[in-house]
Amino acid sequence: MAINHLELVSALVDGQLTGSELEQALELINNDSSAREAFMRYQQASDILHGYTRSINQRPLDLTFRISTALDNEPAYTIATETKSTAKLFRFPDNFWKQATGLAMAASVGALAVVGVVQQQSGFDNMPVASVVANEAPATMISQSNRWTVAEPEVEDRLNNYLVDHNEYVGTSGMFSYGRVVSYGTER
Amino acid sequence: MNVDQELVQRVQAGDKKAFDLLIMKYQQRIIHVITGFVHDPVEAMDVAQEAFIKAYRALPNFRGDSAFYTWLYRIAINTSKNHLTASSRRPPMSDVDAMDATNYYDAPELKEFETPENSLMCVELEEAIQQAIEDLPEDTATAIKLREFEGMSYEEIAEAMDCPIGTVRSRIFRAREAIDKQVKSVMGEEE
Amino acid sequence: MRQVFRFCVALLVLFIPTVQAESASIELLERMSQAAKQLNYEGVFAYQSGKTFQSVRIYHRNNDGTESERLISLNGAAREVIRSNDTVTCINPDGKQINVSQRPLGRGFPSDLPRRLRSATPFYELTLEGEDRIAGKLTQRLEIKPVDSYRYGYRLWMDKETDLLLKSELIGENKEVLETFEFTDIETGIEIPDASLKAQMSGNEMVWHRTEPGEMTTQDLVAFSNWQAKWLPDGFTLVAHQNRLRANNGAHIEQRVYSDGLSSVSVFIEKMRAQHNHFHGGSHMGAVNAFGSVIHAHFVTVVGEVPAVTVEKIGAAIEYAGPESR
Repeated sequence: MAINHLELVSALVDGQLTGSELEQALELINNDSSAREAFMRYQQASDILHGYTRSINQRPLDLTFRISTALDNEPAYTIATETKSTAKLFRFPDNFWKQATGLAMAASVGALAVVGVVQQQSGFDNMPVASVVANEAPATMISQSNRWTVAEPEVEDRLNNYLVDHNEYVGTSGMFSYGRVVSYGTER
Repeated sequence: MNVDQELVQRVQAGDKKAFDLLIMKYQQRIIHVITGFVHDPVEAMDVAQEAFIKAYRALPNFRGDSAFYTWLYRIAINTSKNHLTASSRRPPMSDVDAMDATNYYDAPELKEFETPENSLMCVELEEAIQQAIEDLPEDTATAIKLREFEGMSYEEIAEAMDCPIGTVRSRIFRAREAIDKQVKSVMGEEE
Repeated sequence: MRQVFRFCVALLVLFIPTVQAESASIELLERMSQAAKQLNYEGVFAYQSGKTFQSVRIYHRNNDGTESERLISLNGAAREVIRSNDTVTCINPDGKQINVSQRPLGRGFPSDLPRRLRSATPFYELTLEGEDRIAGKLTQRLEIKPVDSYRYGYRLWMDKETDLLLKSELIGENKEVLETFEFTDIETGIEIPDASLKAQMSGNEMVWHRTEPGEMTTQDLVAFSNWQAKWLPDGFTLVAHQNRLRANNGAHIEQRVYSDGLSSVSVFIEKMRAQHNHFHGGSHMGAVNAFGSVIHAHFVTVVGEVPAVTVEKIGAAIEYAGPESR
């Protein structure tokens, strides 16, 4: 096997691959037993360095065979599940916003149509909240969430601190701007 | 972190193979955690298997607002506790699952469950790995230390070391190869 | 300099016919901003963005130039924000957390907006529209359209009697409403008792996080000037600059605020420390976009109520040009 293949495996252990390289590495792990073994050895060394030592044995242990055999009778999840989960999952690959902008545009146009109609009929103050929520497509969850679209609480906290500090300088709707802070993460 | 989420999404989209990689990545840590409750290594493997299967079944509901490992860790702790309750042994600690997974793995209370023979092997392995890192050229050693001990991404290491990301990647790979060679010699395998 | 000249020319050539109307619009904006600071008011406004719908009660008092304000969410957990002349306190009963941020000293509430408003003229088209009734009051509608896609538009409704902003919409590139704030009920010119400005939560059993203004030595100032934005949308300039210290973890944070007079963007620069996670690329919260990157071992995060493309482009253009950069 070419040496750069193992370099790819090493980067996969670190979770540092994206796009076609990630694709290539997964392919490699699935189809090449020496790449698979290298992955487990690298991972084991990393685990030892982090103090996960009680499982250490002569060889890196491998539960994949017994688990995947046990899972043979389990259904693979369908694409429908994926759509649902994607909407719930806050993830942010590097090019996230590029994908999301399109989605946000499409989604918010849909949402706007609903909101717009309701507003015209009854005005904002009497607006039935439930009807707006119910009419939105799941995809809007990712594009219009009022939580930061990040996975880690620590990063979320940092962004929230930034949001508060930035609010001090929000000009036009300044008097309202802390409304964003008190509404953070309250969507239902 | 992104790769985990990518893998989770693939599983959610029907790619069972992607789950294999999540197992390969986390099995050592999960068994380490379970062994804190379930001393018998064979039993611990069974509990680990059960935990991973539970995780697979629960994956459509995984929201992604915690890291995948934190979520898996909680499943493993609960599975261990249930296992002990079912075999009417008392769980050694309560409310472990409320603690943060990342702060927990090296809790000193858990060390006592190590068996003498594997702790001897561990000491040897740890020493071999440390030695391998010490023997590395300085740049290579720095790169692997920033990665493993400081948890930096390749991009962050590249910034810190003022070199291209590709160089970081190959330095870390060279370090891994050197460590691997050392580990193999301790394990008594041919290189 | 040449840029300024170009804007002046643009202003003269393009805006002469509308100068009168624009001037009236800007005066209205200035009065709006003054009203928000100077009046006492108590009311409930709705905040809507995407799926979020939240009712917020607001109390604002100006006691001989000393401003105090309290916002509390009325649905779900009672989150509160309390602002006084020198601090901003955010209380999150869910997470049992209190964040206290020291405001830049001697500034009062931010809005040096009136001073900056006129510089926004070349980048927005301001039109006085019709009248509407909001929260039972007659309002004047003002339409603000950006000239490029690096900023959002606004639609504002000001109380004809008090000039207070009663409704505000943030408008995206495709004319979609990204965010709405709207009073459903408001009373002005009333007494706001101290009790209304006190937190409803007691601070017991809560985790306190404090952020203080960091000491700014001359050396710091020199070091800070090492960070530059190589690109900003036309008209954005540095309007504020401060150093903060998060007391709970000792993190030093530099905040640089760039604004075109109406829209603003903050760049936060925080030294990267081991074991810290950060995000790369874009994220957003309602209509606020953020873009994160790591530059010269610092977390650099651009945050603003501007389109994603703007925070990304600014984020990509932040540069460390200090002595150890190469």
